[in-house]
Amino acid sequence: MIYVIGADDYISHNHFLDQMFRLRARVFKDRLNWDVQVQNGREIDRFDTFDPLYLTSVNEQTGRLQGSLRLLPTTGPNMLRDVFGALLPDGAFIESPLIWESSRFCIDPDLAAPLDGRLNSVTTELFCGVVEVGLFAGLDTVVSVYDARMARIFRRANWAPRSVGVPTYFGGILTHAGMFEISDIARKRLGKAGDRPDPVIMQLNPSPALFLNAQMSNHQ
Amino acid sequence: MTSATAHSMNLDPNFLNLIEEATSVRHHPQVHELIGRLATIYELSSVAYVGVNLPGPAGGNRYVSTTFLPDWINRYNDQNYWQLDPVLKQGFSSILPIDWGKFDVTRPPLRRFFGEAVEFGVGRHGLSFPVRGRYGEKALLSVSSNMPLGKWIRFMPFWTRDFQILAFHIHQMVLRAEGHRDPKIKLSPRELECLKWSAAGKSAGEIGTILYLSEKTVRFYQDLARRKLDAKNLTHAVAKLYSLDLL
Repeated sequence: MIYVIGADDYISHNHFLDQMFRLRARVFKDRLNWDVQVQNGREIDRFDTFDPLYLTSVNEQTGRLQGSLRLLPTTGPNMLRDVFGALLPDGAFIESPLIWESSRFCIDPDLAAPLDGRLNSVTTELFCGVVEVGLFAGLDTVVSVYDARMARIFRRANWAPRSVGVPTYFGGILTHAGMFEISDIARKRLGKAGDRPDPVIMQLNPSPALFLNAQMSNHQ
Repeated sequence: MTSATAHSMNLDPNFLNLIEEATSVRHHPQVHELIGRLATIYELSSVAYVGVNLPGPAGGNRYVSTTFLPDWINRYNDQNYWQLDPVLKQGFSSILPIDWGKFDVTRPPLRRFFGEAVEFGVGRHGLSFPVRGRYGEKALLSVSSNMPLGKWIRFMPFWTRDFQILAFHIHQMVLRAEGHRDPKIKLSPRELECLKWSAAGKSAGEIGTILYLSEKTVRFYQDLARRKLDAKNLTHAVAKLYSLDLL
């Protein structure tokens, strides 16, 4: 189940956010050895101070966080502009009210990956969540910075990005920037590849889900 | 911006004209005029723009332009509804569009607030669109309507995209009216800090200590800044920082 957590929900959903910052430390520092700052076992960077929207995948039985990602509008401070600007052609940047940036995508490494090469169900759930939130907000694209490891996952999810700019080495990792389609078609393809046809966002707050359903039935 | 969007873009000439006009606006009276025209074109009961922490000469100010009746503005200020208004509270924290219909109006203060708003000509249904700006500033564009609920629900998804785009362009328009000019080269605060400390003669290691970053991270930011400035080396970058008046 996906929880969509905006700044007005940070306090009421602090238990999920705290698990998320710890998971990010385990994944990005301990496993991937990225150049990130960890304090008290939590990875938090300056983009977390710009009131991003978080998507968190939570196991309904255990209440345990399984994965998360972070969304920021490209009209405001974001990683592609402020950290990975060198990926884009000289002086170019992406700034559109219909494009948000996704960053800090991570999955709990303790979750067993499917042996048959299929997509991890948490990955599917988070990707579907991005498309559903994007449709709700009227977006047409999500942009993200990723490496070869993620590129394979996108292909398997049937959500291949269109590459922008030139792949560049950051901290020894060949890094790409890509644009991901936000559309009903993209949502259906993801649902098919990961066997999740129904909406993954059942917000505690009923309205966005209702709004989303109204929107989806309108698009048919 | 992308070819994939062409099929879903609104090609209504009114919508396109509004955006084109917004891009040419330079002065405050025109901002207000355009917000009024937006209400007319979409047959809205009200349109309201609020921006906070705007950059520019009047930096840090709140900027407001609405089609509200003067009586409602007075009432709003007198009752200090700035504190109570749930649309503002949520609109300046979340980035998701806000459907006013989801606020719990069984709570007496909110019921009274929305009840009064309707009495003063604000529509029964409303949507608000948060905007995040380049300099970390925030804005909110709110629209309201009295159309029948069924029609409103049908229109919402289509309007969401229109108003996301309009909200962004209205915000850019307000920045221009406020006298803000886009600098050609934009360094992030970290890049700027790391360069400034180099200008003060500090080594990457020392800067790392000052800014609580690793030496590697400092070099990383300096290198990004150097590339953005199209400079050959760090000294050249610092020189350009001064000559381009980026400090």
